[in-house]
Amino acid sequence: MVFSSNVFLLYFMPVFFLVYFILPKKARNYFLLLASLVFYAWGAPEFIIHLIVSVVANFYLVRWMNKVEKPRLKKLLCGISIAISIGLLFYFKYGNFTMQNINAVASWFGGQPLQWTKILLPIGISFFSFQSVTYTLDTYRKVNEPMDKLSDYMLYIVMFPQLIAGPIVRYCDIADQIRNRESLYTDRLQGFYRFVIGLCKKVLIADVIGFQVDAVLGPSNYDVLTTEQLADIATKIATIDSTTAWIAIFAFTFQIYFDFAGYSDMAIGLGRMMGFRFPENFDNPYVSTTISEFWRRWHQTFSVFIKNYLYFPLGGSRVKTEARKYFNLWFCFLLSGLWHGAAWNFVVYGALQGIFICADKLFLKKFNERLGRIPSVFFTFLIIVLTRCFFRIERIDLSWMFIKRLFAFDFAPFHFGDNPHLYVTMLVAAFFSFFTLSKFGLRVQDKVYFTDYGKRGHIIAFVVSILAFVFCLGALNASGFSPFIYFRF
Amino acid sequence: MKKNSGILLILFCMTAVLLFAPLIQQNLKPFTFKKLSGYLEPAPKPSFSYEAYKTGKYQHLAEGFLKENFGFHDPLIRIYNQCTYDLFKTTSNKDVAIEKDGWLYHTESIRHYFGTMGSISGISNQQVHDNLANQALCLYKTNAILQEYGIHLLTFTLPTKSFVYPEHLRKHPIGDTTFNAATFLEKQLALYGVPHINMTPWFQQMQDTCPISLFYSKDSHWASGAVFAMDSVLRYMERLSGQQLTQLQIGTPYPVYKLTRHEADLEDLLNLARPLKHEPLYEYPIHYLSNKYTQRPTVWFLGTSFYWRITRRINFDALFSSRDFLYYTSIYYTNREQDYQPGYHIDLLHELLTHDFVVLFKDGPQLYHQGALFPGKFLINLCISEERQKEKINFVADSIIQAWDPQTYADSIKCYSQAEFLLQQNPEMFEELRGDSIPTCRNPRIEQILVEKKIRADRTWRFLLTAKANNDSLDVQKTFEKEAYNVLNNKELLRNHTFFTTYDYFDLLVKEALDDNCWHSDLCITKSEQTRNVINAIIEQAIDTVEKRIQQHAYDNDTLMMMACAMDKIVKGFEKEPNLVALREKAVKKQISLDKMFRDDVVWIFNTTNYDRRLHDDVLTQAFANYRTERKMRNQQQAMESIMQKHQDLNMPLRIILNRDIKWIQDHKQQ
Repeated sequence: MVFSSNVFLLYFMPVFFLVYFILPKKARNYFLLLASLVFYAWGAPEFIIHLIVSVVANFYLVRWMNKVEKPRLKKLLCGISIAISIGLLFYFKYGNFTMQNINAVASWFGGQPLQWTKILLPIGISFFSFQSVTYTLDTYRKVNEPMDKLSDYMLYIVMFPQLIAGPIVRYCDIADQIRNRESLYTDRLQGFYRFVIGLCKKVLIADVIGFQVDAVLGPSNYDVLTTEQLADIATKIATIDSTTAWIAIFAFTFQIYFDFAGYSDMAIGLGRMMGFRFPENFDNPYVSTTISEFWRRWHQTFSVFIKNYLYFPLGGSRVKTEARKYFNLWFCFLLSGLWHGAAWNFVVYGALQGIFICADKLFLKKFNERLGRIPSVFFTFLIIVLTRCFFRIERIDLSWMFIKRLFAFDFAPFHFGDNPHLYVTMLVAAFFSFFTLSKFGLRVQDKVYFTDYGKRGHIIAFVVSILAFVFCLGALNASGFSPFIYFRF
Repeated sequence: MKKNSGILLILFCMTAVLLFAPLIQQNLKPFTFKKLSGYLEPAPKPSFSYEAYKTGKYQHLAEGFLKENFGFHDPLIRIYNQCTYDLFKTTSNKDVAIEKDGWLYHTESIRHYFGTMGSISGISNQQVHDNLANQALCLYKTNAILQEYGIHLLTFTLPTKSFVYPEHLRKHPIGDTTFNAATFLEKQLALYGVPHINMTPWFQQMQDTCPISLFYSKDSHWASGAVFAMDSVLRYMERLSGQQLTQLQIGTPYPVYKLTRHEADLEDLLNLARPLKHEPLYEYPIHYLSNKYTQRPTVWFLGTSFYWRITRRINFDALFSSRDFLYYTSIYYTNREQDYQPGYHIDLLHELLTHDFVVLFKDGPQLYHQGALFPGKFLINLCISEERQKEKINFVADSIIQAWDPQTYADSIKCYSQAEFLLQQNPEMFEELRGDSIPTCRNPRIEQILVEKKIRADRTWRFLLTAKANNDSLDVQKTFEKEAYNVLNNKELLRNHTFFTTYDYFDLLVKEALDDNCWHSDLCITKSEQTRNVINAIIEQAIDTVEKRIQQHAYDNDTLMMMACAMDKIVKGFEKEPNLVALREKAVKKQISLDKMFRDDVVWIFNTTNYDRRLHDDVLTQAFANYRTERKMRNQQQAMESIMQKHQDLNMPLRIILNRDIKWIQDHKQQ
């Protein structure tokens, strides 16, 4: 089930919150757990057992690990717990990719391809696997005590607002809220407003832009395409004019931000309605002056996870040589690229990000400082836009061909009247992406997102939210259903 | 925050109510809204099973079903569409394009204009070229065969709005404009000498001189252009057949403030919340000119919804004695819009041979698709017997099944329809139809159909068989077929075994008089002008005709009574007990008398089943009163005995005696 679907908006959400608020506080967690399982089982019934088994196994393993005194056994149990989470992730997400490459190498040397039945990817596995890793490692590091109740732990992993596309909530951040939390009317209402903001981002901006991006670059997932369809896309990309190419890649850059940020807003909003305070996931990433800053602002919970559970264990910046430090950085981004998808284009995307981060540390940051704030924001934005080619086009040769078309400079005349809906939406997207460059924009954002509303604020927000919600429902049903991009990761 | 808790509680409750509103609307439907226009294959209602749930099929179906059926679905979509239309002049409907000056076009018509049809339909221009060349050859052969039987085939390519009004188009991607399917077909048919008009170039020329728009800005079909198109079709029919047909006298256009029907199909497809602003609408007044030499042939039209725009403007009764319409291959309309049946039921060969003209029209973009293969169907049906057709279809279907993996292609019905499609697309798969020459083989059923046609042309024979069918409760068509069979096999004819009363003959004669002569143009126009009421004119016309017959056959002059006779069958149906009970209930509900209810229902049925002869209320009241009097008379034994006596003494038809008495009673009642 996805948030921007009729089933969720018109059936699941109203019924869930009605029952949730009627129930006594003690029963709410159990009901939330049950609803979360229903939520997940609706979209992926065949994987619900995998999810439950892995969660139960991990819960008892971590409890056992916490009890044992011997460091070696403790380490072993920690390793097993992480292996279960990461192993499942690897099997389901990278199994096909690995076999594909093994067979490619084998055929290169004249060998027979290995038999392999294609595996389906359970939605949200990248997110809940990481959450269970944070739980294991935080308990191992004695950052927190393990949960007493299996139901609480299960709720932490499968809670529906953040189950399938984050934010990746660290166990230590939410443990207390699971046990004890309060949801005031203001939380419920402000959570709803936040949810509607996210819905607008997704339905009114990301989907509108995404529809046009797909028309130019084909569907985002090439796995489902036939050879003829792929050949068609290749021809399209090879013959695209520079104007369309630039518009398409700018459009995709906005689409992915509003899609993912929209989802995060909805998740945070839903959480807040129940009294949870999930960490923020985006902090205006496109106003970053450097690539390093961009990664501090983009998908923050993932960046924090990589930093705490990969970069630091590798040694971080406290290593003997500079080369090692840069390698650590680059390697983390390489893996984070691979996390986004089991394909070589994501590896290249990650590697490129890593290179730009290293360049940042070496000279780019200083260069940007000299440029001044506004130019450096747009320079950084341009780098992000260009690297997005490898993110969007799932074949490296086609991505490269597309970049060549960007710089072929065969600009076709641009007519705003051709697609006013797209261009106006892109302008709106650009406005909200760079809105916080000004102090005024920042103040407005703080007021809307992070300040408790007064009476007047509530009334205005309520009216606007209801109108926006109704409009989103219309948009959702008039223009067809489109799933979130980040579900694939 | 405490001071705000009251207002927060209210807002929270309002949010909850609003979130539940669609659920309430879906289940209780307290509000009703205008339904969305356009056709969408309705999502099937999901039925839960564990297997369906496990595979995700149930969820998929449920989401699809809910998407179409949740509360406030239609108004929400209209609101969104209105907003995007007002803000961006865009629509989510892929079939409609919003162009300059608010003009709407069908998307395919634009693709046709810019030469990008092939890239969308997935069929290359070469394939379209080959397909049309093949269709032209089939039409050539069909035309030659039909001419043997005195039937004329005419083909038309309808004008495409984008070609006639390109000045309202925005910029669009340009494809291969060197190939135009309509022009190519025109050339091919000219080469073969098949009667054909490509209306697009003609409309393009006319657009410059015509004072009013040939197409409405919000509709995909021709508007007043339909009048000129039909006029040219008639003239072409005249030239082909050498017959004199009804002339259309087209007057000067007059403004129309309210159309009898909404002509903005493209606007409807936008599904907006409020109607768009329309340009002033104009229509041409039409007079039908004919004389005693004017013929009213029978015509079979095959084509698209452009047909309806003609029938709304031109009275086909004044032009044709019978006209049928096959809408694509889906619905077959017999004579009037109200009488229709599924298209696949019809006997194509029978229809081909029983009309004087066969008119086939296609619109430009349609030529790029491979559906509705009439030319191939015509040729096969004319030349190949049904048994041979079945045999060949089976053979091709078997080859398809063998070529596919039976497990992946288990649907044998699909194989058979595909085989049928292949044969219609390429009739040369029948050895008998190969080559460019006219095939010599014929469907053996043709002979029987031609005999049947001959029987229908003989009035007495036709009446006899119709009466027989009615008396014996038989299917009229089947009775004619049986008679044709008897003729061909030298068997005893049905007409020799038919009891035919004067009453029956008169009844049929009046019916035919109403059918045939009510639109006799010059009389009708005079009457219309006199009475300013077309319906009255029809009745007057019928009365005149019957009066003429009275002079010839000494019949009574009470035409209204004849109408009452026509109503007799309807009334008889009502007088059955269950119907009476239902009527009584209805009358109680409406708080009117049973008699009034009875009359209202009969009037309603008469008016709905006799669309073109909708009766004026006064006339109907009179007819109904007469009928009631007759019923009363028939129930009185003494009165009937006296009438029967008169019937024998005067040696006049019973109907006439009855009518005289009824008239006498009516007159005395009034006095």
